[in-house]
Amino acid sequence: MDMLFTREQEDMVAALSRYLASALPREILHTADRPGETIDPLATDEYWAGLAEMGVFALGVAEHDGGAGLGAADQVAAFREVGRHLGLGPLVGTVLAAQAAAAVSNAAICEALVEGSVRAAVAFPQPGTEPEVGTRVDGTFRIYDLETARHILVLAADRAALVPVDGIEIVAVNAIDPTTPVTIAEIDVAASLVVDDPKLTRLGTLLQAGIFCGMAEASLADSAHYVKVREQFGKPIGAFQAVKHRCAEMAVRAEVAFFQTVYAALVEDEGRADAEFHAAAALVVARDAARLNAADDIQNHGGMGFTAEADPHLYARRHLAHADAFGTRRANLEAVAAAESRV
Amino acid sequence: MDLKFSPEDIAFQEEVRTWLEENRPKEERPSGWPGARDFDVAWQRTQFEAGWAGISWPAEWGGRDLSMLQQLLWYEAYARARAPKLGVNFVGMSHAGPTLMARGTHEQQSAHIPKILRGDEIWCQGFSEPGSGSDLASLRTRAEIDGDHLVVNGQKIWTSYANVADRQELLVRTDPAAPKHQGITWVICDMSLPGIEIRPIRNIAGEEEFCEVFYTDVRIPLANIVGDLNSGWSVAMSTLSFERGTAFMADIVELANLVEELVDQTKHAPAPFGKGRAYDDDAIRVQLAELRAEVAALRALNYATVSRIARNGQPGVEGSIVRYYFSQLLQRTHAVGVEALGATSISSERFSPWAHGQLNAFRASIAAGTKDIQRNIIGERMLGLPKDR
Repeated sequence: MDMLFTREQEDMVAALSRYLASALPREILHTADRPGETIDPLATDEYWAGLAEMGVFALGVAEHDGGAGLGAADQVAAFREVGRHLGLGPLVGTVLAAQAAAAVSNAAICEALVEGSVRAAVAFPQPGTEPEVGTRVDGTFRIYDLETARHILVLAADRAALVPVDGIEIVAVNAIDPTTPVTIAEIDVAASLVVDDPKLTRLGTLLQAGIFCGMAEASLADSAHYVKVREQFGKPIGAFQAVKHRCAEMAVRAEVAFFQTVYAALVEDEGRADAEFHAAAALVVARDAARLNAADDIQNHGGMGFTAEADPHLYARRHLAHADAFGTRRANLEAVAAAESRV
Repeated sequence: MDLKFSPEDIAFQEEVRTWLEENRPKEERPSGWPGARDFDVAWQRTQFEAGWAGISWPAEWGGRDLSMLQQLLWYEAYARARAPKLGVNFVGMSHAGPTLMARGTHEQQSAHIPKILRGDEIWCQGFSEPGSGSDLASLRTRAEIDGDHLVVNGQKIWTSYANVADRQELLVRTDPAAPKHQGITWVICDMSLPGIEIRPIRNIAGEEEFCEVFYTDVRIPLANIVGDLNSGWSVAMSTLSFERGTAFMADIVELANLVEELVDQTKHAPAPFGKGRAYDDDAIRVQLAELRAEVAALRALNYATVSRIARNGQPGVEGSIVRYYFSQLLQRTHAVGVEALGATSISSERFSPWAHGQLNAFRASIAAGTKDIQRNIIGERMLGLPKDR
């Protein structure tokens, strides 16, 4: 039993963090407020090819399918860095679709996703609808980071179906976070492959939790830096308990979210029966941490925090854009409530 | 990273579950003194004689010399079996004993640690004073050297179990001229010495558990100093790292139990509004689910603590995160209990425990450093924010 990173994990995380920091400087995220235009790193192949080269899409694919054969914990560690740097593009969808393709031995699709030549966006049924998800996919769906994807991985209950993007009908695009558009679309096509395994949705839930953990830490780091340099009443504002304690609470949330997410990923890797409970609990605490830390980061920056020019709102926007991926907070809580006694 | 338990860990877990189920006291702990002390001491002795006291303590002193992970597995089995709390053994087992192991001389260790494990020596803590609460280092209880003794004069407060304790971890000012952190000494005080007067204080939950302690020319041998003269602040920090880092691991597992108990009770109690069960009220069930998710996370922090100790040999400053989060969750759990089940409702056997629990839970964000001090520590020592003092 060990909840801390191994040396190999630390190295992997550090390398990915360095890559994302250089490929996605903050300025790029600030120039994204151009509806209808694809953000630069996604418009070209270089950024995505770099991620593929680092093995991001291969992490959870078995070695005999051309992957690294690592578990949920390693993938969560990687996606925390994605969250920390506000990673762009359909990363979660591509990772899950590669593993879905591997699960049904579709080597061609798996390989294309792993090597980064195609991308897959993740999609969920719109609330209040009951679409068909099987060998045929028919209904209204909410799709994340669709713009550069060639496939869509539709997740519904215990099933995943991969469909091509050709022929879908876009109803609306929500750009509350212009760096990660959410598309509402009608889909009515035959699936390229279908996987009946709740594991994929659970893994996606963990990756999303990992992203929120990284965001919560980035907001914390942003605040911890700012309150040391911003001075009022003749001293750094971080010396005042009202500000210091707010920062401390941000640190508590980040720590709580991270270790629950790690624990849930390890429970998944152990194949335990309470994997769904822990994944849902992880997404609840990690989403809350991302939301509240973004809010506190804006508050700590005062008037600057309310400007589009400063960074804090980037995390608040990303939280809003992803808040309902892998179930609303309420849906996650019902999953937590439904679990067997935890004693 | 892994959640794998060794075959020894699994066998250990099985063994302790069986033993605890068979041997835990089945009767209620008496509510007054000395009955409560006798109960706690007898249970400690039972654990010691069966070899279960001090799971992670050195075998030299009668412990088991097992890992912190096995200590945690013990706490988990303990909470699951609903075995009684440490009670009067809390200070000795949770931070006085560990402090002596970390900082005491061999003589001090052999004189006290085996007795703590056996339940033969009850300890209390003499840190806070009326004028020195959060600002602990401003303490003014004086100790002057006279031959081979310290002569102590002053007052301590909030000393839990002082009225039933044999020994005390006592902080005294031995150099009033030095900067406040540098003139303090950590000393073992025999509570039966002449010149010590104890006045119990009734707390808001109706118990007489913490006390005021007055010292008039109390003579303590210099040999009782732990660490060096005037280096008591660093020894006290060691004590507090145990108090904040590991002392509450069992309470965390117990809190998880408490939340499940609450879930269970809401399934058998009427809703606070409208028809049906409390559990079917969405406003209640959502709060219960939030507690479940957060308590799961708190338990994950327990495993993180164990992992850090395994790597670094001691609990880190992250203990303040665990302590703060635990105190907030404990208080919320009782608040949800009162909201769901009523403050003054009567169960089949007695009044709802949640109202009394809510009062008692106020202690969690005051003892071992108030929640404000915990947040100062997190801000200053983890995030590097400037001090304002």
